[in-house]
Amino acid sequence: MFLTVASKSLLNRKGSVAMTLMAISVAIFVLLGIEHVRQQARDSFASTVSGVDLIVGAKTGSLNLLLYSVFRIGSPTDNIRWETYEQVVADPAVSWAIPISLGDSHEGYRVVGTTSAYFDHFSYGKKRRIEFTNGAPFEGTFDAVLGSEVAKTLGYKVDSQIVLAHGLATTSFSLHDNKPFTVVGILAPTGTPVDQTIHVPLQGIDAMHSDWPQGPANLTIKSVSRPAPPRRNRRASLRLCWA
Amino acid sequence: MTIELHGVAFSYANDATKSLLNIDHWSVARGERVLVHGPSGSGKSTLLNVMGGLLTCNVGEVTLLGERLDTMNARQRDQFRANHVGYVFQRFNLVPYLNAIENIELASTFAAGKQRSSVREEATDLLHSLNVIPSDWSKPTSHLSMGQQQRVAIARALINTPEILIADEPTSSLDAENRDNFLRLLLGLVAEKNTTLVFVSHDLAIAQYFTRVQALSEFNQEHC
Ligand SMILES: Nc1ncnc2c1ncn2[C@@H]1O[C@H](COP(=O)(O)OP(=O)(O)O)[C@@H](O)[C@H]1O
Ligand SMILES: [Mg+2]
Repeated sequence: MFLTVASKSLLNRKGSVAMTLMAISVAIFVLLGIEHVRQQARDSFASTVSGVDLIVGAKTGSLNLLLYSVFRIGSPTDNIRWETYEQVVADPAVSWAIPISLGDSHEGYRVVGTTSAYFDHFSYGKKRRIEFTNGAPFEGTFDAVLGSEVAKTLGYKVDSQIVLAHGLATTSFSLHDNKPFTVVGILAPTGTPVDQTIHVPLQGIDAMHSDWPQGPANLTIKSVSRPAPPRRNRRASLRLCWA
Repeated sequence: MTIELHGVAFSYANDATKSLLNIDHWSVARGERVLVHGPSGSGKSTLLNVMGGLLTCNVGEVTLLGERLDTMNARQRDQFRANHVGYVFQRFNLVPYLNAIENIELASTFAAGKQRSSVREEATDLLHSLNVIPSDWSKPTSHLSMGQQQRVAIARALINTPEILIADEPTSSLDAENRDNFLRLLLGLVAEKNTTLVFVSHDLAIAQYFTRVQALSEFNQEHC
């Protein structure tokens, strides 16, 4: 009996029932959509960088820091000083750190100044290390290691010469053309922003800007990495990505 | 006594200064057919609501069939009403999207101890004896005329063979001829089952059908 009453009552209000159903489905759709996006963002972050406990940078929003240091989106607001970097790295709780210096580009691809610690410690996905398809990590000041997409799109091979530009625009007016870099290594595809990155030594960035009167204007992220001491307490050993 | 009111006072919460009902003592014996009359707004519907347990009085005792209604909680009152009281509202209050049979069956599902299979039979019997033609049984009650709705409302009130039938001006929207037909049918059914009837109306022309006729003002002192 109550089922009859309920169904007839609903039928009697078809219009508002339909509207209600529609509103509920839209709400559920939005809810699921947001949940999906959230999950994707989390997965994407987790697969972009792994094994890092802390990202350190100059005063800025945490989202901004994450975006420019990990995803290479947006620009750093400020730099941190080298001494600060060394101070933190000296902390016994820090097992390794990777410095990152941003601000230059080549054909629209971001240039990251870093150290060989990058190739020793940086990992993505499920703790996967970055690998080389050609060549090796940089050694000289004007050596460069290209992400797979950079090499493929721009047709660079080991021994190609590239000129970096100051700033991030594709057509920059301030080319560092007196200091060309030589490609020494090309990385295997990772499916992360590493593929779109040109890696050069920190000294290269410094040297490149050395003729600038005011010094390295955009030297943003510096990182130094120390090898992780064997069998260290996981809690106490912070792996740092230093921005 | 089937119905007994003792020292009952009632006022609506939004008008608490005016005590609408003030009844020292009023009772109805089993099988009596009482007509309570009075002008509109005098509190007739309110009296029936208090008597039927739809409203609870501020003070006093309301006793139906020997049970104290005023000490029951809302759930117990509803169950008691479903089992023992038939109620015909001034506006019938039929479920508009259910047909006549379904409205009657719905009322019977709230009463205890009824055989489901016998309900439909009894419902059709009642509708027959109230002169509702079978083609109207399956129409949603919102498609029925006032007179037809009123008969369905009576059938619904009587389906659980209540000891008490309360009727709130069910004839007010009928012409004289229909009204007399209707009252003859109703009182026939009531007499047959020896149901106690309390019927209110502002219309004294129907007094001949009742065993007792009283003005509300005879036993109710309105205080301000
Ligand atoms: N729910 C309510 N809340 C407040 N006042 C009400 C309510 N129902 C009725 N009244 C008032 O109570 C008085 C009596 O109403 P009612 O019992 O319906 O009279 P009758 O049925 O005799 O016409 C009227 O003045 C009315 O305005
Ligand atoms: Mg009334």
